[in-house]
Amino acid sequence: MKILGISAFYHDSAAALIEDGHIVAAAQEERFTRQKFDAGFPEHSIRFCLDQAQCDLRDIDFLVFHDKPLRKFDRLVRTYAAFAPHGFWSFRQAIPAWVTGKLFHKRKLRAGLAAIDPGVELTDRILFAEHHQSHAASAFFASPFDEAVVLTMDGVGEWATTSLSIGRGNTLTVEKEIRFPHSLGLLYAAVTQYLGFKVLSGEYKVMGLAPYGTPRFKSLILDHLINVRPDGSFHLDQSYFDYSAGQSMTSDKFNTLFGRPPRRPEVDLLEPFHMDLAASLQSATEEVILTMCRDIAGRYGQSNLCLAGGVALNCVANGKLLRSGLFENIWIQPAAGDAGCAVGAALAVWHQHLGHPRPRTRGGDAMQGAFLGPSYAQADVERRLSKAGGVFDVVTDTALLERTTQALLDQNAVGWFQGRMEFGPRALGARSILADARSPVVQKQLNLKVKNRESFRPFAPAVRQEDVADWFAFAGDSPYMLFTADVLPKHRRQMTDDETALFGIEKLNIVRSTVPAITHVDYSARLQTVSADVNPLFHGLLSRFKEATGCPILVNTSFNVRGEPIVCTPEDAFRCFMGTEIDVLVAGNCILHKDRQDPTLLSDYKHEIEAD
Amino acid sequence: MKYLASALWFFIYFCVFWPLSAVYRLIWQDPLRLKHDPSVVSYWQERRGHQFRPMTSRY
Repeated sequence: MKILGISAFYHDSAAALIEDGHIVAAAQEERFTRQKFDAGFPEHSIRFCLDQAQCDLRDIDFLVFHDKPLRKFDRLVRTYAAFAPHGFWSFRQAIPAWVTGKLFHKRKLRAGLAAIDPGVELTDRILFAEHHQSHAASAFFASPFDEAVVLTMDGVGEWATTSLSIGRGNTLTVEKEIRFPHSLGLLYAAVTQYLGFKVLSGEYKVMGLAPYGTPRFKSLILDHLINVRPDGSFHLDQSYFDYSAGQSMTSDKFNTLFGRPPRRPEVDLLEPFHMDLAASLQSATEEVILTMCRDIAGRYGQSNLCLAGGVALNCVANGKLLRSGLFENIWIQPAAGDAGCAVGAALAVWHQHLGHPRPRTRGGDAMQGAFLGPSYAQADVERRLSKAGGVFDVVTDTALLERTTQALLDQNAVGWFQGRMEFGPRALGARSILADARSPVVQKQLNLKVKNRESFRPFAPAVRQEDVADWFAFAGDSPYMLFTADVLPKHRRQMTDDETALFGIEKLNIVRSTVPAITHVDYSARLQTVSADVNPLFHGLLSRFKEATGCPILVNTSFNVRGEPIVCTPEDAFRCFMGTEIDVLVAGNCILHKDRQDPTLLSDYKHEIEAD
Repeated sequence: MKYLASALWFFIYFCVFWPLSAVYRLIWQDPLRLKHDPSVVSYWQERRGHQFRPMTSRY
């Protein structure tokens, strides 16, 4: 039986296909259309899923949408009713869009499906799952656990912003929820916008900015913006916010509380104030999550925790939650944002709606390393690169690892395009830019010359699973880059008094460890552990690099420039390679060196992309 | 046409929606729990029936 899950029409559209409970394919629409967070009908993603499963739409038994639009409309109307007469301009924009389109989701789905197969009729096979049910199902049914407590936290679904469920076998029982407008995700988004970053993409930046500051506004946040009860449940004072019915995330009262207007993006410099506010928000968020999880752990007595929803991408909070020891095991859906709802909705149909039992796992999860996207055969890679004008050598696997290692030792930035594309926001060794983590200049060079992004942003390490405990205060498994951990003291460099006294962005250029490119200013790192059974080629590269240097760690960042979706095809990879200062591209068994390419193909396309 | 549409929505909002909202608020008191009650022990809301709504083709 084949079930197609769809997440669409809000942001981060995606499709996923499961066959007899096994995830066959999943991909985000943005990767195909090259529009970041593409919210349209995921036609390309669906076509890819069908190709991967070697079937067509007529073979689909159920199509499931990731939320219930009428309940969302109900929330919208009640919200405007609660705030009227304030909110006219928001009402003027939102309601016509709903009345003329969003209310008729089934019609939109049918039209989208007709573009793929004009003769297909799936109307009686279209189902609608609740948004947080989709999140919870993506976290629990894809996890390795038979039983777990499932916590989902995001901006908002229909009404719920936070939900707590108990998963047992093929059942998922929702216990309780916190509803709009009280939302940890929207609190984080509001401060993100106030700090001059875009909602949806800027939250990572706030998290990365936080270690530069001091959380001196934390009590202000907890005293005024969010009221937290002893069980971790919370209430936001809406007088400080304007996201419910206004045109902005924060209100004038918010500006008054912090004593200044919002930072203007790309105009106002980042000051210590902004760093301190980021640190305060991050600290308050961690406190809410830890308080909530402490109560959940005591109340439900479960040793396993599953997380999903956009807030679950806060790897700093996840790392602290893991270290708290409240739960023996924590598993987080790698596509924890709305894209993952496509997988979750499909799994919910298979297990909850149809009652099929969970497949026996091999001790691992069902996400297959998140490598669920398209792949390209070697001949296809060669054909596409040739057509794009690339000049390349084709080498054996052994030579590939040898030459890539040498390129990394020569301090080159390497584009790494291998196998099936990742599903979710992280590059995990299939569509990655790699560099030598031991280099003191890589962090700055990659940010400014390759990624074209803010200099303060940290890079993540990919480390061999078997070596992680030798380098980081971390003994578990973090295959999806969703936990942070500190670099062990034995790898840190002793700071001088002058260096210790530095503040804010001045901390950036100080070498703090033997792997400075991945060591953030607070010695933390966002870990990806790589195992030989999930990603043998990438593991082989790390092993070869360790043989050459004694260091089993590489910088692993997404293969894209700022504001651009991660590359999907060999052509995308070649364009990014030629448009940035990536020195070497390794695509399949092809190796391309920048100095051997046709200089007329060099392009500076990154300035054509809207900054995120 | 654009201005006409805006005028229509202005009328709908201020002459229809707002008065209905006022009545709604009187009846439902505080549907979004906007008022902070210091005596509240928890802001969690229990789900009736403890289940997600059944998946159906109705949305």
